[in-house]
Amino acid sequence: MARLPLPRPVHLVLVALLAAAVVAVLLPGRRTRDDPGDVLRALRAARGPSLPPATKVGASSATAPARYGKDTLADVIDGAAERYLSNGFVSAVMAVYGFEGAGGAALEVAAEAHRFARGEGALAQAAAEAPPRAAPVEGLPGAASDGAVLLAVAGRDLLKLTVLSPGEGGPEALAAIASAWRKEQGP
Amino acid sequence: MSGRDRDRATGAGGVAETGGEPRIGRREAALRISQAALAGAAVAGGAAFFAGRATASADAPAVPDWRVQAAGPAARVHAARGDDPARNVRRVLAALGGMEAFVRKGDLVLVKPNVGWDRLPEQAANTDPQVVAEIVRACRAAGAGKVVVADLSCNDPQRCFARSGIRAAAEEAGAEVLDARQLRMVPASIPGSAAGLEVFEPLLRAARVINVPVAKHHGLSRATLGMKNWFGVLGKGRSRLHQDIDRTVAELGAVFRPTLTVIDATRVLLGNGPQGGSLDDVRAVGAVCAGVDPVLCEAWGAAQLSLRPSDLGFIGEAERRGLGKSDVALVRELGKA
Repeated sequence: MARLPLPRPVHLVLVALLAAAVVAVLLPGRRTRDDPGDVLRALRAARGPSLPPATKVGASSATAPARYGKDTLADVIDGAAERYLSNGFVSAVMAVYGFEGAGGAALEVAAEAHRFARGEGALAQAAAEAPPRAAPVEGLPGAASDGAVLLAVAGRDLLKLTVLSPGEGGPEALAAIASAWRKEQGP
Repeated sequence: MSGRDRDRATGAGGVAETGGEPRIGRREAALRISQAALAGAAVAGGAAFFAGRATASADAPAVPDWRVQAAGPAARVHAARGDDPARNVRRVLAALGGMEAFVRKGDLVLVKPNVGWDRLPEQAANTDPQVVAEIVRACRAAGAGKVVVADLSCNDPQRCFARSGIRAAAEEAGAEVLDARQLRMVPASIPGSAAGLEVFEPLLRAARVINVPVAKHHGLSRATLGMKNWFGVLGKGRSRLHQDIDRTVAELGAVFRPTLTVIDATRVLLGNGPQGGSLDDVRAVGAVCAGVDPVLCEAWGAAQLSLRPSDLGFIGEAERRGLGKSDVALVRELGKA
């Protein structure tokens, strides 16, 4: 009866490598997210920057969100895109909210959320865009406003809101949008 | 002698010297034919490419010349100083013979301010709204049929026109502020670096065009004044013009010949231009100049930024092209009021 050959060291190395590969594949799959909010946030982060729906900010209307990437940002801000790109811009979504103002006057607010590769990029862009007399907004950590423009940073995302039409209710509209956006971003 | 033998006889170089006459081997001949074919293809391709560009440019409508033969005072450029920007505008226009010297009844007048950035007036990145509004009022008073204000902003145009205060001020003064997002872009016959770029269509329809830049610092060209302001009528692809900016700016000055240039130096941005942001970079000058010599206006604007005309390559380039004079002493200063 022929005897099976004994395993050589090379066989052991191959088996060890195979085991390591199996562990590498299986281990991430065993991680669990106990909090459904974590799952939601992870999904949102993967989707890109977002803006809250009009109904959640008290607006009467909102334009369809327009999305831009590195290759298309210059289509909307030709000349201003360079600084965004140098700060690590990844993608953006933009829309205009409409609010019923006092006495029937409409108030429009331009909203844009930019995603950067790193949080530092979002902060640098916020500093470059900040109005001269912007002050922190109560109840909104990381946000600053001068009443007509509001900037807020959450993680890698920068929110910029601009009142387009003069009139009453601008600061309140900015705060409502920023607050809803901040809630969507999570802690 | 077989072909193989001949090739062998020519050696590595492929050319055999027999009896003083060079002989070309088959391999060498094939190589040379291939090289010739490649060179020919490159030349033909290049010719076709540039011929196509030339044809496209020739088919496009020419950019009108909006200049008028001013019958007013001899001085071609006037400057006024004071705390009220609108008053400064009124004074320089009066010195030039009034807006009536430039605008006819019923004219479509296009006012082209610099509304590049979503900055406040105090940040001096855009033309002062009071200067724009006063020019609109003067055009309306002179009988203009319609006054439109337009610019293709660097940043989102809605935000730029709102934050700069120019939309509100110009509309209140009687102008129609064109929505940059709705502007139809059309080809125009533009030679030089900007060839192939489109311009917004109302520009070609306007009977008179008034260029109203702000004097400010620019990271590449050191300053942006009137001729650089023409970037704001150009469509997609204009960023490439920054590569040889002095030449390009002078080229634009030769293509776009405005009825009048009004340089706003109410506040000037001395650093971190063209976008600016910090009030530390802004100096209140309280001055406006206007005239029919765009190069002289440019030289005056440079002086408000504490620069000499010779500091700015595009001014010398424009003067060499015969577009105007750069001797600031030719500007008639009206003094402070």
